[in-house]
Amino acid sequence: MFSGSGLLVSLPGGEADSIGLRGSVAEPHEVLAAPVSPELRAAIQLVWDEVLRLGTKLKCIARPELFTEGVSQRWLRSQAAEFSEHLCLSDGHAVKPLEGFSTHVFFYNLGFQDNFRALNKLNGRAAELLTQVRSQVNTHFVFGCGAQRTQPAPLLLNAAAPPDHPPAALLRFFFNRHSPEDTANRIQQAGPIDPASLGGFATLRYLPLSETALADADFARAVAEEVLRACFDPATLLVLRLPYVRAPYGSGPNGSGPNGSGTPAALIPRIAALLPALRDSGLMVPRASFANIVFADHDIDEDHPLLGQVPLHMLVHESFDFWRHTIGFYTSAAAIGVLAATRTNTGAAALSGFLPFDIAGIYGPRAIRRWSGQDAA
Amino acid sequence: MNYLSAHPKVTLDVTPLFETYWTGIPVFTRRLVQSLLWHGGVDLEFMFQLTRIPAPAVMAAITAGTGAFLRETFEAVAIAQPDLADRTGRLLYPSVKDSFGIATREASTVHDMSTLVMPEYHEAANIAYHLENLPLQLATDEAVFCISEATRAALLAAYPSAAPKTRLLYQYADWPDSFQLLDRNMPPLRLGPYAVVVGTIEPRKNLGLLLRALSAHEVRRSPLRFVVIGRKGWKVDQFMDEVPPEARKRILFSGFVSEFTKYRLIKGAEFLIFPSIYEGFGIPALEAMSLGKPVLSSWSSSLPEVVGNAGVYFDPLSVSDFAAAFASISHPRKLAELAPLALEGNAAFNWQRMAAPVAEWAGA
Repeated sequence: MFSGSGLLVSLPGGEADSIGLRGSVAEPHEVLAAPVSPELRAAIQLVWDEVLRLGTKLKCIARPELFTEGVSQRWLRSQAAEFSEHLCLSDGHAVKPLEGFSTHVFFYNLGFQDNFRALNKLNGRAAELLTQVRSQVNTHFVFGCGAQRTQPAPLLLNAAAPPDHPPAALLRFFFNRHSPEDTANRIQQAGPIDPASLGGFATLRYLPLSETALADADFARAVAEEVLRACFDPATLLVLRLPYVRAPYGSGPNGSGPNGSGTPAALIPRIAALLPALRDSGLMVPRASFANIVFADHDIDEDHPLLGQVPLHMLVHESFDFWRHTIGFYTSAAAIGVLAATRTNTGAAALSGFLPFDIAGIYGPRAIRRWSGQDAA
Repeated sequence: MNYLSAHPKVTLDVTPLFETYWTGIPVFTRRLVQSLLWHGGVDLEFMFQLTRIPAPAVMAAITAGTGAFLRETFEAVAIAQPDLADRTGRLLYPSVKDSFGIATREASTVHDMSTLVMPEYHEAANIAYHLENLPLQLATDEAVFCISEATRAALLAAYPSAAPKTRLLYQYADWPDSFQLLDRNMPPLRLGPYAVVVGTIEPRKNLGLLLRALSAHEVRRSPLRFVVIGRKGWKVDQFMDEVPPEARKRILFSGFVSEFTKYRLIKGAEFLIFPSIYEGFGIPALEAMSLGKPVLSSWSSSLPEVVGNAGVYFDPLSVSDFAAAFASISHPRKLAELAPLALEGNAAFNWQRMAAPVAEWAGA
């Protein structure tokens, strides 16, 4: 895909309007300087870094659907005469081909349930469209069904630096299954936790949560089991990264936005995203705080003070944007589990290809229990 | 073939004509009915929810320009004594199909692919309405009519297997004969020089570009005001909140107006502005051209196909490009040069051209 003389990268419609570009074609630095979501920024930067490394060119186009034929296509050719490849950056809601160009796709932000569902619907409604995609960046999706099933060739790219967000703040775990407001207020009242105070544990278990992951009943059950186990195992430090939430689709940047934790108002929607999943897991999570269970408001990165002291065990959902972390982050882990619906689907396969070692790819609730050590026998 | 006629029979779904106010697809359907009747090569029947609707009721609705009477007819007659559409003939849907494989020969019409390529501009229910059954619609169609080459290209980009079935179905602009006389007998509009924008006020129509361009030098120094004709659509309140007070002085929002008022407003304008980000066809451009008005048009999707040489084009996402094009078309010499091209361009879209592909499909 990147071997051509130039790559046109199209932006997702959910963000195109709010970016406010000066025209339909823009230089990547103009897009990165615009108010895009952190996830889109990371995706563009990742691709741009690769293009620069290969010594080719990149331009962004705001809306490929403009260039359907005739005058508009000639105009585009005048702006990008030597370009032949098109990478569609997609949040799952649309995949847009560009007439006259080979189209590749890079799905990001599938941790938002709305996006993940939209992609599944798109595969049902326009499977033919998806089966024409030449390659996919950082996913292993299979599109279409029956004899038409196709898996565009995956291209794996990993971040060279940790995500650009504030260091993760740690907060005391509390869970009132009936009230996100009460939960958020009590977490706030307890105040932030100094990572230095979290010493002396034998194991660190880390679960980055997302709307999509929590909507998966198997994963939600695994989260509840992890919490219950930690309640009775003070030697384990359990860190739950709160799910990111965003405004409704189409109302602004289709990304996580600030997603802070400094006020109850900022926490409530994130807690509200978690609460029904734990409540409906069928397991009773005690309404209490525990010294060894904490929330993180952002991803734990490789330079976080919690890491490096004890073995890290990590469980992620297949929709996790694993490419936002460096290989160094994953190689620091003692165990990584990826919950995937099927072996051919995105997360586990992609992450396996991304890392220089095998991961504990796990499939289905029974495997989760095995990963958790419940039925090791 | 009908026993009493040498012409093949086509049953046209007139569901869009059941709407009270006709714009967009209802008007397209009305034009399709009329063009096929004028063509005379097919025996035309009408249906709503697979139930025959008497032709006189459809004609009465067309004369009145509203679907209120059709609804009454359906309630009074069709429900009590349902007369199902002839499934041995051809069923033609002027828009989205809602029954599949009822007749052996079916055809439907694709107006645009915006729900697929720009879902952020549509509500979820509208996306589902257009896309949920589209693969089935294409699979059960013998012919898929696309209202422009651009729409056909967008459809085939997503569903290439439909290629052999697709046919172009261009519509045309028309005005009642009485409008010209009525207009002549009315006092002139007292709006001063203005350009007109026609279309539902919603994000896809990209009116925000015009608002942003008001501060551009070329637009600021122009004496033109801007008349925006169209009902308020999705997210309009958010949009209107963002209209600055100084812009409100130069922009007049007419809201939904009658066809006659629209005719007068376009006829009195210097030119039409069509800033849309995406269109399936762009009938307001053709309506303006039919009155000899050039078009300051975005070069997106189907618009160059319709506007042709009768306009000046701009990048719909670029204020500076719009401003330069605005300056170009505002010049009296340019307007005089484009006006005859507008009439000429409009003449290429006529009822004969609309009827021909349907008649050909029907074997007429």
